[in-house]
Amino acid sequence: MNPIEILLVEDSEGDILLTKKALERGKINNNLYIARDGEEAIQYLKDSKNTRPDLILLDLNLPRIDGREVLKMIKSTDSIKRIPVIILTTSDSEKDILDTYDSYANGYIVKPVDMSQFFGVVSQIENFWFTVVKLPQK
Amino acid sequence: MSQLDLMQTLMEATPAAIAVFDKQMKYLLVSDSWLSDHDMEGQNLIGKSHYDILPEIPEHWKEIHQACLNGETRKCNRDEFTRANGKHEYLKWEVRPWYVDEGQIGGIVVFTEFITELVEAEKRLKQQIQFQEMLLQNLPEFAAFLFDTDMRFLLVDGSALRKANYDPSFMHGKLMKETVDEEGYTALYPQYTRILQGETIFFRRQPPHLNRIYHNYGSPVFDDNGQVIAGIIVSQDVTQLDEDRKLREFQESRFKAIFNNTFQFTGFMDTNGILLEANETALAFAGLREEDVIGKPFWEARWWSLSSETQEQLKDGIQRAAQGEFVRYDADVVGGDDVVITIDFSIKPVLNTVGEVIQLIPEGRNITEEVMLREELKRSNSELQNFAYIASHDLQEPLRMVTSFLDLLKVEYGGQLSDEADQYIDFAVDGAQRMKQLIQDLLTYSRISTQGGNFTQINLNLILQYALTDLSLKIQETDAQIHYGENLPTIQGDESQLIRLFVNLIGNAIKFQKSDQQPIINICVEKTDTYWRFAVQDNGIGIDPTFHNKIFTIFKRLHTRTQYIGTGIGLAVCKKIIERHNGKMWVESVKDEGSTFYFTLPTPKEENLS
Repeated sequence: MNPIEILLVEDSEGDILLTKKALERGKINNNLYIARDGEEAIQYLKDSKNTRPDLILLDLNLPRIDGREVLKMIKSTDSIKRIPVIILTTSDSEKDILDTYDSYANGYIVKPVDMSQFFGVVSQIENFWFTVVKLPQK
Repeated sequence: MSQLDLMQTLMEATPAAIAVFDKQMKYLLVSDSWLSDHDMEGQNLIGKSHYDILPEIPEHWKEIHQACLNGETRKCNRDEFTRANGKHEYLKWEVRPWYVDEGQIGGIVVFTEFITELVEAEKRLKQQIQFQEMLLQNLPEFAAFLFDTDMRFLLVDGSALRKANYDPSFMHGKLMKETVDEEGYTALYPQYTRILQGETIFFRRQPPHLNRIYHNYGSPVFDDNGQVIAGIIVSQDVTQLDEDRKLREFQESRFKAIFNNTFQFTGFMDTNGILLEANETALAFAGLREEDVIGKPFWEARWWSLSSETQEQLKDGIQRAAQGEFVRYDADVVGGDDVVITIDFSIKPVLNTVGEVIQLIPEGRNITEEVMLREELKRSNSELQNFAYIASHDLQEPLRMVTSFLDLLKVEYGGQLSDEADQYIDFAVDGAQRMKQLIQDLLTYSRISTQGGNFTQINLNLILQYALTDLSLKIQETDAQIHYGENLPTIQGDESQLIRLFVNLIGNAIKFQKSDQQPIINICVEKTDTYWRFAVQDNGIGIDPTFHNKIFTIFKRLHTRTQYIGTGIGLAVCKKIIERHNGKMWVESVKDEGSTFYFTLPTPKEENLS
């Protein structure tokens, strides 16, 4: 089985490390690409030389370009709009949830405070999107 | 014609009642008036004896006749007389002898005159005079003076005189000049003169030697030819009235002082809203003069010129107050320099003794600062809410890092370090866990107001069931007995908050128990006019009265964490939920015997109406 290509858009080094650990612990075969702000994420996605991600984990509160803008850009760009975008954020405001789903987010997850729960969530994301769900090839 | 016949003819013509008798009391001559006066009309008495005609004549008349036949003259100006028909009359009579010649008595002449009418008139006059005297003497504070053209007193009387130590009988018949001192004469002479010249006058007088004030009404008395023949002065002692007036004036001035110097705007208006009075505070505030507003509709005054809505609201208020309602609302009014202030405005109806509205009292108190403070408080409260929410929310993020990496440290390096290091990690994890709980509780608490749901119709029986389901594990574990009726009302509220309320209260009742005791919890409700009062009663450890208020404060704990777990958020949340539902919450408790938590929820408006 090919490794899963994941783009993690996250500015917190702690969260980046935790996500890596979670993937490790879940024994998920993956390649993790990291963008530390919205600008970087958009650069990565625009450059056709870069590996096309199978899944995007997107934080909302980012420097320079906000996660909400990144989401809108992804979902309005034909070549990448079918890539599932999972919002992974600390915000649980109702407004953010409604707004991002309105912008065609594929999921919205509030980062659990507890580490083991967080690990669980990452495993479930992998399980759901790559075992349960059938995704388009392009 | 004989001399006697001539005499008889004369007699018939005379209007007087005359009879002439001879010495034997036989009629010689009789006038027609005699006949008619003595009920003997048409009779021919000549030659007949008076005693034959009137056999019943009283003895004393016979004596009189006899005395006069002997030369005496008798008369009576007023004699009472009862006629044969019983009519009571008054009679004036005279009997005198008549002489033949040289002192020879020929008989007697009797004159009679019935004076009944005169006597009656006299009596009436006397009564009238008595009545007037009575009036004069007894009417408090009055005196009357009748004087002739020489200013001589003909009649003087009245209680006012006696009060001033004047003797009316002393004044009677004296010249005015003789009864007063020089000052009095100088003052009174011109007035008396005017009256005697035909004027009707009024004058006020305060005699220097008397500490009294008189109002005098003078008028002339005319004869039939229009000549002044006398003058009358009626005096009224108004000293008391004057004092009353001064007292009234004093009271009025005191009222005015308060009325005008209060910081409140106030006044009077009639039930149609026409302004009758406005105090100086109100006038000065808008730079108005009395004539600008008095006698005009209140709502047309400058104060209410902010908008037509303001005026309509006032008109409506006046109408309601005129029906007896006490109207009160906050109003924005305009003052001088177009400054707008907010007043606590009211219109109070003034009722008469039979309960009719006779006047309205508008009143206003400047509450601009209060309103500003109120809004400031509201703003700072909401800022605080937001602060608590944002703070706790933003605290979550770094805390997540702390707990996560502590966990990671423990998982990956646990056992590889010294026992001491492992213990340090445990303490750090524990602390971070508690902080996580506190932050979450703080979030929960602040969300009650910032992120509360909409109010809907809530059946509290269902809410209680949800809460009990939520608590089912705890109830099982502790074997708690929970008693409640099916009679909980349906109210307007936030469903999830109300579930939380019951979960917290019942949860506390189960939690704060003596270790060996089965929790018994009673939930009941009572209805009053305006609200439902709920009670959650337990048989738990109770609360010391010192802490009855403090327990509703966030993070207030009365026990160590090892005794009873928790952060001390539950009751604070309950109270906040109840306050958001416009209710009140309090506790009654005896230490070691149990607690009863009370809370109220308003009854729905529709129910209030019914």
